[in-house]
Amino acid sequence: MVWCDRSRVRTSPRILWLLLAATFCALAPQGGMAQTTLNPDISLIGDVRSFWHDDSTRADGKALNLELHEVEIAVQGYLNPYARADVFASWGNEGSEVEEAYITVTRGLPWGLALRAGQYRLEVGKINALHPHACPFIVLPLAHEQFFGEEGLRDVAVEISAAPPTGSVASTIAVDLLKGSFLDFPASAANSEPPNKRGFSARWNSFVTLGTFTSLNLGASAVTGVPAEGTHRWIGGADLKLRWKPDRYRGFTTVAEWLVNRQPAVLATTAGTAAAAGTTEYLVRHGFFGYFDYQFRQRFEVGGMGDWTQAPADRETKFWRLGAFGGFAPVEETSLLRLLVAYERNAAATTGFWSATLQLIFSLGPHKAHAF
Amino acid sequence: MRVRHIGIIGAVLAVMGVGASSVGAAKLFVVASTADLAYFARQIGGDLVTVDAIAGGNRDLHYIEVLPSYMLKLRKADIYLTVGLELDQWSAPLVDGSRNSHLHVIDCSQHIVSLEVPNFKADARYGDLHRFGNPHYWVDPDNVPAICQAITEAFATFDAEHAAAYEAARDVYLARLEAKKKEWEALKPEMAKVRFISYHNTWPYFDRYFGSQTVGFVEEFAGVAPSPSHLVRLIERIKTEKIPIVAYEPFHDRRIPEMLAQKTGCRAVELGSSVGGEPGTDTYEGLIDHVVHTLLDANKGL
Repeated sequence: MVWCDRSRVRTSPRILWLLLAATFCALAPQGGMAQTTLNPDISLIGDVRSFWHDDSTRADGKALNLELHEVEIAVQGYLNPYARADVFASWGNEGSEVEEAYITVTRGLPWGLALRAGQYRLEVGKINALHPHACPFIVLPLAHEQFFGEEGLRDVAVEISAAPPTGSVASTIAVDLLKGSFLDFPASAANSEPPNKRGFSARWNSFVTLGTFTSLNLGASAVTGVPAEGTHRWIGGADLKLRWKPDRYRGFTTVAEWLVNRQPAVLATTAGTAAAAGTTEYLVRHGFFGYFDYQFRQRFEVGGMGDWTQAPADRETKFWRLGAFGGFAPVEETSLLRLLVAYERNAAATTGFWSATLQLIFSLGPHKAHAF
Repeated sequence: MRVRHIGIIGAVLAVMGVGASSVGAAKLFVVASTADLAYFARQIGGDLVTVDAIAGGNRDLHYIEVLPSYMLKLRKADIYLTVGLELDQWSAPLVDGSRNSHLHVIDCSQHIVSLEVPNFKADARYGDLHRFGNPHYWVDPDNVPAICQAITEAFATFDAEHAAAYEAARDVYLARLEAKKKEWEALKPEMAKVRFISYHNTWPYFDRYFGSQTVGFVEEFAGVAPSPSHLVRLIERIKTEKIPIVAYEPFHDRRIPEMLAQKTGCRAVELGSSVGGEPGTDTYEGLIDHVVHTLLDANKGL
C-alpha cells in the first residue's frame, strides 16, 4: 500500500557522526561561559514503537513488532540578529538522513518579508510541515503516503513570505522555488532525468481569532513541477484547523485537509515520448483526512481520525481508514505514550485489516514533543 | 509556463509590498508580554503611548501558546516589554514571526536582583526551573521602581522628544505607590503571621516584602503536576504543622487545593498574581491589596 521511495539519497552516516561530534564539542565548557549561552539549542527526540496488525499481505502480520522508529537530533539557534538556522537529522529504520537544514531571515528585509533557504518540509496543508513525532495520531494520513511518500513533501528550496494586510486576521503568503526532488515520488517517475525539474509552491494561511481561547486557521496550498519533459505535476489542497485552548489542562483541536494530485497517467520514462506524440493523459486524484483531539487533565488526550484517498497513478485503487487514538504524558511533555487503533481497507478488497500502534516519545532539550 | 510563473510571483510580491508596516508613527506603540507590564507602561506613557498586552492577567505566563494573532499585535509595535528571567520564553518566536525589523525588545528584569538563582546545573530533573532566578518579581512593591526604570529608559530612548514627560509621569506614579506602601507597611506585622502552601513557587518576592511565609508547594517540581505520594506527604504536613492556607492561581487545577482543604480543614484560596486576574485587581495596587487581604482573611480564625 505504501510506496517507499528507495531512490531517495541518504546522507552518509559519517556526516552524522561528525554532526554528533560537533554537538559534543559544543557542549564542552568554553572559557567559563555557560554552554547554553553561546551554543545553539540542541535537542534529541526518540520515537520507539510497538505495532501489531492482521494484514495478511504483509510479512510481519499478527506478530508483536518492536522498533526504534526514529531518533531525531535538532540543532537550532540564531546566526545573528536577523537570521536563525535549524537543522534536523534523524536515524530511523531506513537509515540516517538530514531531514531539514535551512536558514531563515526573520528580520531586516523590507516590507515585512521573510526569507528561508535550504532543505525543509513544505507547508502543504497542516500535517506535512510537522515532524512525524508531532503527529497526534502517530501515522501519516493515507493521502500523504500516496501523494507525497513516507517522508512527506520536502525539497531543497528558497522561500519568500510576507504578511499581507488583512486587518485583524493574521495572514501569511509564501512562495517557494523548489529543486523539484518531490517529483521523484511516486517511484514510477524516478527513473527519468528531465532537463528541468524545478518546481514552485505557494501557500496562503489565515488565522482568525474567534474568542479569547478559540481560533480558526484556514489555508490553501499549491505545488507544481515538471516530472518529465512536456509534462507537469500539480498538487493542490485546502485545510482548516479549529482550536480551543482555555488553559494548560484542557484543549480541543480539529483538523481537516483535502488534497488533489494531478499527474501523468503513464510512467515517466515514457512520458516524454507520449508528450511528444501529444498523447499525455493526466489523472486527477483526491485525498481527504480529518481528526479531532481532546486534551484533558493536562496529561491525557483522546481523539479520532478518518482518512480516504485515491491512488495517484491508478484509476481504481482507493483506501480508507478509521481510527481512535489516545495519549498520556506521565510527567510532562518530555515523555509521551500514544496508542492508535485503526481499521484500514482497500476499497476494492473484500476485507480490510486491523492495526494497533503504541508509541513512546521522549525528548531531551528545548525542542519538545508537542504534546500539548 | 515560465512567463506565467513569473507573473504569479510578481503579483504576490505586489501584495507583499502593500503589506509593509507603518513604523515610525508619532505615538509610541507598546506591547507588553503581561498585563502587569502593560499597566506600568500606561502609568508612564499616559496619552503619549498606545499599550497592548499579549497575556491577560488570568493566564499562566509559563504556558502561552505562540499564536499568529499575537505576532500581528507585534507587527506594528515600536517596543515590546518582556518579563525576562525565562518566564516569557514564548516571546522569541512571537518576535521572529512579527516580521517587524524596527521592534525593540526590552527585558524589564534588567535592574532586578533576582532571588533563587540556582548554583547548580538546573536541568529537567528539577522541573521547569529558571536558570536566572525566580521570575515572579513584580509582586514585590519594592521591585516596581526597577521595572519602571527599565520602561522609562526605553520610552525615553525611542521617543527622546518626550523623555522628560515620561520621567515625570514615572515619578508621579512611584509617589502614588509610596503612599500605598505606607498602608501595606502597617499590615506587615499581621502578614508575618501568615503561613501558606502555594500551588507554584510564585511568591518569594512577595514574602520578602510582607514577611509572609510560603512553606511548601503543591507542585513537587516546578511546572510538573504533583504525584499522589507528594500529595499524601503534603496532607500529613498540613495536619502536623497546622498550615492554614493552600493558595492557587486562577489558571491552576483547583481540584487539588480543594481536595487538600477537604482532607485537612485548611482553606483553599485563589490568589491571582497579575493585574486583572481577579475581580477588583485592575490596578497594581488593587492586585497587591487583593492578595494581602485574601491571605489575611483566610488566616483569621485558624
